[in-house]
Amino acid sequence: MLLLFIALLAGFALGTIKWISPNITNLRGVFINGGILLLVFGMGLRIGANPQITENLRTVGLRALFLAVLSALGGVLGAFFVEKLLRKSMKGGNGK
Amino acid sequence: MTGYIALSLGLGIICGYWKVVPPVLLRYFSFLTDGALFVLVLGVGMEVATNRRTFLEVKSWKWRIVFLPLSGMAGSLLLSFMAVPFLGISWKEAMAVASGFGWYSLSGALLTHLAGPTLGATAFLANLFREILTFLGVGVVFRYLGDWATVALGGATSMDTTLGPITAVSNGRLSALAITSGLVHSLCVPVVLPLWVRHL
Repeated sequence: MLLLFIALLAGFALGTIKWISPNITNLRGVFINGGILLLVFGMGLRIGANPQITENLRTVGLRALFLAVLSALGGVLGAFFVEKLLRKSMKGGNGK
Repeated sequence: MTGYIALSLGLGIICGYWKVVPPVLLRYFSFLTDGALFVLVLGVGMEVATNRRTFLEVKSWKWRIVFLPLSGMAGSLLLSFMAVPFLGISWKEAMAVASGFGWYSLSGALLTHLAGPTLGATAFLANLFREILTFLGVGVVFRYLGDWATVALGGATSMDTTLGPITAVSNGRLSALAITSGLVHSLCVPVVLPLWVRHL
């Protein structure tokens, strides 16, 4: 957690300090996308190699998947409608 | 990008399942995911510094920003509650699993401790699946349902693992919103989750 905060600050510093070559900050897309792919690969590796996960998949996998879809969808829809409502009320001049 | 993410995940699962990587080496692979997360967040930091619009995005919402994580959490719980008749578990158990908000390690461990290994495994898998769904679905949600929905999809993970994809699809515009929302989600998990199995 602390390490992530440090990474975020370090990235911010790298992007802010003018004398650092823009070539480094131009690589930020590579950092982000490369990081995502490596992270997901490592995640898959640990899922596949963990018998606790692969064995439980047969018994509680479907229920877990159903709950995952619903909680993700619920979060998405909840935020979608509240954002819409708030944008409407802000446009109307309320609460400004 | 979604295709590459699915491919990378599938490749990882196959390599892990068929033991392409010797189990002895596997423990060192947590360094790989930690390192990847570090590089990813470093990139997000640079993106945020180069693209200051992300702060304006938070600023423009003022105090209303609290409704982003709150509506996300309420929506997650509500839809999970509505599905209780089809789940074969009690409503409290369903609520507890949904209260992981994608933080699978904590919710799995907490529920194993509080309610036994079966519900713990359900919470672990459900929240892991939610994280995977976020990786795969963030592009579509951003395109059709807008900013808040994109951030809410990640739940608690939008401040670390899924911060990368959220930053990538929005060109950095949603990074600060994602960190804020993920932080609130994460703070709520250890408070809300035990409520369902302990005190109700």
